[in-house]
Amino acid sequence: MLEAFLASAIAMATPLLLAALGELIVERAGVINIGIEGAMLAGAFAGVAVAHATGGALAGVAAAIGAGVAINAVFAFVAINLAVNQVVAGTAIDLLAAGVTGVLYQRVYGATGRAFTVAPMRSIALGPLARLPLIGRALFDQPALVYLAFALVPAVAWMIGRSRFGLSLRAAGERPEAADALGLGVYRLRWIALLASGVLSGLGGAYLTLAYADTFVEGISAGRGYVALAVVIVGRWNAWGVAAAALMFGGAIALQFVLQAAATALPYQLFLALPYLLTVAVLALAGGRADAPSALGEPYVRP
Amino acid sequence: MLETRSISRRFGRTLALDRVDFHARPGEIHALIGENGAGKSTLVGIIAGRLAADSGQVLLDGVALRAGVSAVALRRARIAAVYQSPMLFERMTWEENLALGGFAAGASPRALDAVAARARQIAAAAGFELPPPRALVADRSVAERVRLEIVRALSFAPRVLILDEPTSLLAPAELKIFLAALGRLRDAGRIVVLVTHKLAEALAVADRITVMRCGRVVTETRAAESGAAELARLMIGALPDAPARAPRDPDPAAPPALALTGVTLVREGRRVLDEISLTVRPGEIVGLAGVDGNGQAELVEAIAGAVKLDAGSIVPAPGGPAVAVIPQHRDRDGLVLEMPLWENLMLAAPLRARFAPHGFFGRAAARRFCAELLGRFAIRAAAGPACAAGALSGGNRQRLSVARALAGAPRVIVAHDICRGLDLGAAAQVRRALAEFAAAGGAVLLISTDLDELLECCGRLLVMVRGRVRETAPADRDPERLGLLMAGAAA
Repeated sequence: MLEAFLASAIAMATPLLLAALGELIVERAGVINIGIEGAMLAGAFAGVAVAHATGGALAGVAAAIGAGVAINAVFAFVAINLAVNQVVAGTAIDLLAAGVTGVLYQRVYGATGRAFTVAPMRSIALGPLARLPLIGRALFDQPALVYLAFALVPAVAWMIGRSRFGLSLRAAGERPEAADALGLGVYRLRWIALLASGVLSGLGGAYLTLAYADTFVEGISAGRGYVALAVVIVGRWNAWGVAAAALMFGGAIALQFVLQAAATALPYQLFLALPYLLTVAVLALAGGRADAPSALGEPYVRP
Repeated sequence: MLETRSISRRFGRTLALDRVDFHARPGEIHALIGENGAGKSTLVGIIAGRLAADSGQVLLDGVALRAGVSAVALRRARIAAVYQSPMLFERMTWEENLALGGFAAGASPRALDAVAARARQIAAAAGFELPPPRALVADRSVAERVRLEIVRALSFAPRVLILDEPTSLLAPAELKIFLAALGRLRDAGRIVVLVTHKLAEALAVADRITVMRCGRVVTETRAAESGAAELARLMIGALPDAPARAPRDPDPAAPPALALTGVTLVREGRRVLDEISLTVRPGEIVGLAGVDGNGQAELVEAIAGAVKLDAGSIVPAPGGPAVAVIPQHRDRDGLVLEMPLWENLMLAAPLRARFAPHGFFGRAAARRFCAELLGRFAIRAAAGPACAAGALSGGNRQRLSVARALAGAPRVIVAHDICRGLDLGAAAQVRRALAEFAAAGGAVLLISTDLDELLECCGRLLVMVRGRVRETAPADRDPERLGLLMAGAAA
């Protein structure tokens, strides 16, 4: 049972981690993208639709990336070039994605909710490691996207903390006018960050439909984009912290399944609410914006 | 050659630049002087590609630079600027700040060590010291930041180096070496543009001088052929009145208006304030000299009640209405730039008590009061009390800070570096306001790095070195002698 719990925790943490790493990059550049929920949803739908039509999971993943990038490009244009309030723009993106995927789903697959499924992405067992007791299944027998998500953690940490691009990115998030005065190109940096985040959100969405649910239902992202925002805060705007926070939230979701299965007298809705209660509680305790980029959420307009 | 052709730029209803033609030749130091609001900083911003001009062109060696230049074009043209308000990233280390400049390096430990090594070479040539490894900019003093900015600008190996009021915070010894370094840049065929309000400095260092007034170029002249009085007249139209002096000898029997006894503050194991005792009596302006970063900022924080003392006492108790503090970073600690002028005034507790006695502002009365202060202190604000504080020029912001401090009717004013970056006229007005306050029985503690200012305004002079304060004898009233004391020489 513990083995199943661990495997489930990793599985639940993966889409959060993918989305949160993208959001981390964006926020370090000074942009807060609430539209991440919409980007995940669009990725989830595009992924499963293309995989269903072509029968290929890889094509589905590519489509999910395309959808995530496209959605973020819309957001980038509105929030960066038009300097619209980022929270308003992001919320609009979420509503747009929920509406468009809902309509398309009903048009293409009928309003009856007739089940359609795709072949799930296969798990890749890493040889004898996968047969380790307790942790083998959780860590070494998972779909490729899981390995990718966790491999991205050191990569993103290096990019932000050590690389020249990451340094410029942080400059844009701390003091965009000073970054611009140095010729770093704030608009360009923020666009690149948002497109990269589009790729990661799309992957997070693809994971939901292609590796986890094997189908699509309306609103399948179920607030995971918002949880990813909380993951970034709890992770203190740092890739390693984000990974730890994603695992903690993934664990909470997995725990909810365990508790439901244990079938006590308590109503199951209480367990469903567990991850979200945890989000609120941790945010209240983690509190503070001390580690947040100084210019987070401020549109930059060249003087 | 660097030239601008008929540059105009408008901010709202104000014409900041009116068909400005400016020329600076390779191998010369060109001083750009003028009053606050004359348009110097706007011109510099346009030349460096930070601001777009409404019309006109910037040319370097005959080639027009695109307005609002892209990163690549800026670097190719190698125009580097040090702006009046620091453009550093507070929460990064100084090495990271420099890596973002001309070194164009990453932030791995190895890259940052390489940046530091090259920065030390540049700094040594300019006569600067750099902070300890991996220090955060947020923890460094204003003077150290100016040095970092200059080093970062030099890291571009610039063809054109623009310095907007860089020298006000450098210690006398540093200044000499720095100006010599500028001379070497000139001799290497670079174009150096020095924006300054210090006429003496412009005359001493520059080869040519351009004078601006109200958005126009008034004259361009060879420094060797100009006199200070003539340039001052061109800048402001008339010479400012000499400041009214505070009486030198206040009543020694009067109880002090401000008294510090054994004030001690320990940060990271270091005594940044070390048993400081001082008094300021009613009617006196006491000067506190010292190289920036010797504990002045902490002393101001202590008097303002922003930090908890490790030992000692301050009378009157910090945070009360009797003491008004005018901080050094007016844009960070003093004014909320996004808020209108009248709301900025209401940030002062005594004024809030006066205009919002029951928790609600009498908006009309507060605005009228603000308009009256704007008039009395000659604060130029196009839109009046509703104007955002950020829309004012530096000198006008500083006058607003002083006006706010005085308007609360305090008994003591603690002013830290309040004339930094102000031109002659504006500085004289600010100092006169303080002198009048003292003449009317107020007590002033004036903290400054500018010895000329202190000698001109103050009665008693104190010197602050490494967290300690000591009195000076009348025989020490001499810039050279004070310079030695500031450097820590024995009495």
